[in-house]
Amino acid sequence: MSNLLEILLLDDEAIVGKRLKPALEKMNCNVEVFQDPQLAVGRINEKEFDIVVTDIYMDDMDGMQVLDIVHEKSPRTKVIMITGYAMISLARDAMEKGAFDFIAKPFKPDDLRVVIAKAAKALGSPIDLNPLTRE
Amino acid sequence: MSVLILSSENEELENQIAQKTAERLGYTTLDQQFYNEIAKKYTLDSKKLMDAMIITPSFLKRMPSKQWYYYLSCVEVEVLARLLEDNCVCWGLAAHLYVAVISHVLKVRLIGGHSLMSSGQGNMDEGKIKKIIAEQERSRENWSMTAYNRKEADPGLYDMVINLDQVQPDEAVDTLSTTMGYPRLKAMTYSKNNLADRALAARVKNVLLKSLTDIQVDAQNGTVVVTTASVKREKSKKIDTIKKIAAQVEGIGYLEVHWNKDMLTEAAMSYR
Repeated sequence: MSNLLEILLLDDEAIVGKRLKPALEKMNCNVEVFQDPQLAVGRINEKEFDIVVTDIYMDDMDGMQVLDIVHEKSPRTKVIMITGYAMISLARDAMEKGAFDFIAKPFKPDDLRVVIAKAAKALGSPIDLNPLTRE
Repeated sequence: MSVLILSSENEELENQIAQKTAERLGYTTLDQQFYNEIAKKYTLDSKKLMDAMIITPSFLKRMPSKQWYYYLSCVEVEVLARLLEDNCVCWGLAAHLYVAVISHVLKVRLIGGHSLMSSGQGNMDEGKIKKIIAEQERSRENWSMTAYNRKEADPGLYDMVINLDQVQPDEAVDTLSTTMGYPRLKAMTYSKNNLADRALAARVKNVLLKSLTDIQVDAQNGTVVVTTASVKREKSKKIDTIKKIAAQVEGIGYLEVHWNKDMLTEAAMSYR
């Protein structure tokens, strides 16, 4: 695939972005990482992302609000919710609001890569999960 | 992948509603016919397997506790494996008791509707029907409490309760079909992992129950925790046995065994 998949990754814990960015970049994705939801929303208003990966519980703004903002700005964008406080009601609410997927922390970078590949396929831009291992 | 699990005392209407809903949604079905397949796979007597899903352990009924728990565990393993595969409507297999809260599984209790039954109870007088239903409910409650420590008729166990005295079966099918289409019941990585963990725990419990008793198994993100009890002098032996047997099960990321002292046996032994 020639076009890079544009991904915004928002999590108030720095370690999450630090670990996931390189894992996603290996999949031919361009990843912008944010810890501050306000700054992330500012960027979402400037640029249309293919995929937004957002934490749910954050100080200034929660992931559900980010989900609403993304869908208002760009309905085609796939939003993947990640949280360390996964509960059935929260998961169902996220899906009701139109989240593409919901993942409970802790997860391995590979788990997210699988979901990103599914989202890319749903966007009509399938990507290779293991580009480095193929010729 | 979405799953609808139905539970009811009224088997006739439950069958009818489940079949029609599955047809409408294009889902596969999983019902009591599955017992034969399970019995064959585990080389069990299928009549006894079906009995185990109705009666509680009893030497008089030739159903010892160890065998009973193993039979239940075989059903649990196979039903959970099937629920992982496909969109499915499942009923008559007690899945509402062992499929814990999973967000893409809708659990529905159907109550009432005995006057709508085509045979048997449909022609009986109301007082007699009430008596039979009360007896059935008592017996099911006894079974579900012994097997899973849950009251089958407890509405808190379900996402929805439909009263078939007030809602026609076809309306129930409409309601269920519409509800299954809600985005909130779509399968997601979180819910699929939860179900996979449940299935893994069931598989581990099943291999352990072949030779051991007093076993509880939980799994989260592939980490399996087995809780057991024994007298202190058998602690190491039991833990080693559990680790050795459980290691046969595929999919375990990490295995932990929690041991508790069997106070009762310990006290009985010291008294001797």
